[in-house]
Amino acid sequence: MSGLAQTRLQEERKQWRRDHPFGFFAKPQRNPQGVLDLKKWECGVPGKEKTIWEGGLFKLEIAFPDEYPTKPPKCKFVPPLFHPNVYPSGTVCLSILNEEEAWKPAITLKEILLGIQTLLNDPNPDSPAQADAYNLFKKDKAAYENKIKRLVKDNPAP
Amino acid sequence: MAENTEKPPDLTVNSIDDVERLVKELYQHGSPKYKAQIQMKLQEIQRLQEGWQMADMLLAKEDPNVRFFGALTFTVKITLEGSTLNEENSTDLRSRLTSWLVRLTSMHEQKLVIRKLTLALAKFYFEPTVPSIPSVRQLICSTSKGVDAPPDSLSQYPSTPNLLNHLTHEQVSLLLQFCTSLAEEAQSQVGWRPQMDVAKVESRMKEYVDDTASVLAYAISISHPIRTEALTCWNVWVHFAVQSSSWTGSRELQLLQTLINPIISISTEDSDTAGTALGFLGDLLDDHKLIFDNPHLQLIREVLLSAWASEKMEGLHYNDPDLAEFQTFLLGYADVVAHELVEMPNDAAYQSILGLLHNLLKTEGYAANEDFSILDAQAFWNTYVEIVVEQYEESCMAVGPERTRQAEWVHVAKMHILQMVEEFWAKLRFPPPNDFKTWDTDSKRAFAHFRRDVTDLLQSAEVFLGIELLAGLSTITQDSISKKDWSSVEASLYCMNALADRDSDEDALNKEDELMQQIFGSTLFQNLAELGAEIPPRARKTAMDLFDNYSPFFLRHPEYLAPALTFLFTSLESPALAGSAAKAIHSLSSACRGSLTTQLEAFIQQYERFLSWPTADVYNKEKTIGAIAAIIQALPKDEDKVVALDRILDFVEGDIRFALESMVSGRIQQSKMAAMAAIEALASIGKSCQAPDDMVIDLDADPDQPNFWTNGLGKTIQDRVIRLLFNVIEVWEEDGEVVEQVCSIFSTGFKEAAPGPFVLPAMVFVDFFKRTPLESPRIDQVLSTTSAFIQSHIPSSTPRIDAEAKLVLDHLIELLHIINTPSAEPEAAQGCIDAIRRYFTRYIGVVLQLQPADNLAKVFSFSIEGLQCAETLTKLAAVHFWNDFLALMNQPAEIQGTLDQVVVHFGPSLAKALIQEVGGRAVQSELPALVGPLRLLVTRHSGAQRWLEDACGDDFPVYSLPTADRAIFISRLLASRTGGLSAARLVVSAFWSEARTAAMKSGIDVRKLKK
Repeated sequence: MSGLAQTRLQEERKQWRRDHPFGFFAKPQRNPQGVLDLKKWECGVPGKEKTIWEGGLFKLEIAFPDEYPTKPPKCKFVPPLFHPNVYPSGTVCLSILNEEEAWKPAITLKEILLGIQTLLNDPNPDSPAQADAYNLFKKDKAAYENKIKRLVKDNPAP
Repeated sequence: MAENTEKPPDLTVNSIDDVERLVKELYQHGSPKYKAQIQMKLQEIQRLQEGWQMADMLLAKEDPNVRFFGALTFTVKITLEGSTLNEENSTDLRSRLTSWLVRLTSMHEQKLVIRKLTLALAKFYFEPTVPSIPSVRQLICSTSKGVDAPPDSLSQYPSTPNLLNHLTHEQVSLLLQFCTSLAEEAQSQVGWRPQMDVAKVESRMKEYVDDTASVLAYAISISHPIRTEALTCWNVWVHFAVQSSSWTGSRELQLLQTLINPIISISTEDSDTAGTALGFLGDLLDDHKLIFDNPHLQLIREVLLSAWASEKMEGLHYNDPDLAEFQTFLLGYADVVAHELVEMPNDAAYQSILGLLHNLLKTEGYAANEDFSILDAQAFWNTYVEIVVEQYEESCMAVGPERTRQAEWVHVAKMHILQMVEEFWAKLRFPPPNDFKTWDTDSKRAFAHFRRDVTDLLQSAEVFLGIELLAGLSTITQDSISKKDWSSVEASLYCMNALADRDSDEDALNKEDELMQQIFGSTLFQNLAELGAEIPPRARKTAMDLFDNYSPFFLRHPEYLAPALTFLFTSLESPALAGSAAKAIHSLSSACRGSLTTQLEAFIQQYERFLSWPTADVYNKEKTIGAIAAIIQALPKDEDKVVALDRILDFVEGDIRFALESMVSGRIQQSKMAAMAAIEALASIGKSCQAPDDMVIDLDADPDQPNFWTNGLGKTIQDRVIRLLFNVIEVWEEDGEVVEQVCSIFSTGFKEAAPGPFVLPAMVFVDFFKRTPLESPRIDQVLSTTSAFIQSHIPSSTPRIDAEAKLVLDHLIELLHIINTPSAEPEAAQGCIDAIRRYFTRYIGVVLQLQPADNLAKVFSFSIEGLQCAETLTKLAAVHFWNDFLALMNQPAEIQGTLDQVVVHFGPSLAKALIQEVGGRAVQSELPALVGPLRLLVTRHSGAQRWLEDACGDDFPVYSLPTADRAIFISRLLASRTGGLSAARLVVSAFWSEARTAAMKSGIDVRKLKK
């Protein structure tokens, strides 16, 4: 990993510790030897209050490329999440995470996670990433909401 | 109401008296609307040329509000017109402002007016056209003399310290206000001035600092409340100085630094000023630690080790008035010396400081609600642990004496971290349930947030402490269990949950198991099951989480399962816990299925009892019956599985019967609920019957009864499953949620590698699919299940299903005809295209034999139209269809011949569709996929060049690129054949960008272009 990426990620970690939004968590993973790997983070995004996602906590992995922050990190829900803008692999499809769209090196981890939280209840119908959730969202809102409620029950916030 | 009765203000202004009247009205209570009108009028007057004189006149008035407005007018005028000042009128203005300050101070003017006027004077001195003079000394001399002192006379006055000795406190306060205004104004100026002017501002501040430092030193030395003003002034100056590049390491900065020692001394006094000093020093330690040199830090250390600090720390309570400032100071210092605190275990002073830092964690009050100080302390301990972990990782690689030295600090650090864990543990405890109920949502959330953050800290600590951390927590837990102190039990179990899921070597795992045996073998679960309501639900819930987190333990030690499961089944009765209990029963039974087979009968009996409880809802039933099915799956003999499955299918059948009866008697809602309960339970049984991921499949095994489930004894179960499925389908086939579950039941069988109760004969799915019309509420789900069905019969190890595949394909073609064009039903179109794609390669013959030939043509023309569908997912399904089709190679001669004919026939329209997409219609994210078929076309098919040229011909979209550019694209694309996929991607991406730019120039929205 480049020195720039290393420094930036250390700073991100410091800033996150100082101040992070309620209900979220984000920490670099440790490899089997217990050594911290700043390039791989384990995060949790809670459902926003007063939405059908409230009460849920959804885990994702963020992988930072060597070229970070020039290039954006890759965010992946583990296990893959039922959501119109999440690929069957779990990867999140969001403009601020796309190098060719709205990614900017100044975007912080906090902004990314808040962006993903907003995306949960506010899917972007122009960028469908999985058929199951996208089709249900478009055609049968009631059933879609039931699915989400079930998802929240299976992934409760502590 | 006032607005209705109040008279509108008279905005006529003919004299200064009118202005005075308006200012007074402005400060009287009145309607906001009228106030706004007055304010606008006054601002208008301020902007007039006469504004300068007006300011003077207002300052001479009796009403302090009016005088304040006069001072404000000066500030406004300087802001707006300061740049137009010349040498002559600037001398006059300086003299007027200074005179007013001197005169008003002698008349004991209110602070607010003086403050505003000093700001006007400070602004004045930063105007680039105003000549530079020693402004602070000028005001000191003027104050001393009682009138404005001309700049050229300043050298005739005694020295600044001498003059200060003879001033009143009020006069010194004036000087402090002015110096503060200078620094504030300088800060503001550097925020918006161009770089060159910023250098000027920084340099002017250097000219003022000597006199300012004298004023500050004098004010700090006297025992009077103006010392607080002096501290504020110093603080603003330091913040300005540390942020100014030209001040770094300068003599001027040192002047400000010389005041640090006296300020540290003030911080230990018993006065209001002490709190201010502590707060400022703490913030500076945190943000700008470099201004503190070693002697400063030494002094701070002495202060923190003094009796004064010990007294402060005694019995800290969250509402101690000066706790916040002291804590900022302590934590600021701790942050600066964090490495030393770790690395110097033999330094008694640092150990004492760590003692203070431990004390911060013992402040009374609930975290994040009453005790907020713990949040900052938590940040320090995070840093501490992080340094320890880093050092520890390095020390693991050290050798020789270095290693011995490190062993010392490791021992001490362990002690501190274990102590810290205990201190945080105490803070994790919930208040009594009745108190907690009275907390508002925000307070509850903040507390939960704090607890979550502590788990992060524990996980970091665990890297260093290893098993010792779990051992410590285990001791606390056992102690709390023996005291039946449930909030403490909860807090320690919460911590243990945070430490589960570690990567451990065998040795550590054995130790962990020993510790967990003490917990799981204690009276904990017996108590939890027996005492029920006496124990707060929170504690029971946290205990339940252990099963999820430590399920591998039970796998190794199944002897501990019985009490755990008894507790879980008991909890199923509690509405607050049933959901979590059902989940835990499911996860524990799935993980430990092999060890629970002897408990199967007890499980089924427990389930029967549970069905009579009000908590037996769809979710809980599904989880619990799934748990039983997992145990059944682990039975060694298939015959026993049949018997057990038959019993639990009775429960499903019971729900279906009830659903049908309810339907007949018109209770539609109840009927739907029961049907859902039945179908979800069946799906759950199906999932649990799948072979676990970690099960070893013996590929060479020759089962005694290969057809056990399809033709042997097991057939009764399959028949029953099929009957139940179709019972539901026949009644609720228009219900999307039911259809979805039916699909998931089929899918469970498709995923299996070996025969089983849910691996149903292929014809069963075919029958289901054939009866599904396009209007089915989940046609897309049914189609994706169809894809999975074909896919599951692709591996050569599976039997061929040509006949069934043909029947499925016939129905797919029927659907294609009904849909007609993909854009009419994009979701169904996507599903159909994707399902047909799965026929490649094993069943390609089934597709090519389609009769009549129109049906075959429909498949390909439909998929070409799919390429141009506005819906991304449909388009991508078509792209993958063509990619996989064009990739087909080396088929038997007759098949290959037909394939080639298809390409020749559809090549031109395929090329046209692809070219239009990469020529701007597609969105950028679709491009990488589109490159695939385009590249296969040019690399594998000789006619491709001509088709592409035609596609780039006259039919190319009207916004069109020049013909030459299109030709260049084709030649580049052809050239990229040897360069791999990435070369083709670059070519396509560049072409797409050019086309989009051309469209934008023509003002055309490419997405709306016709195909």
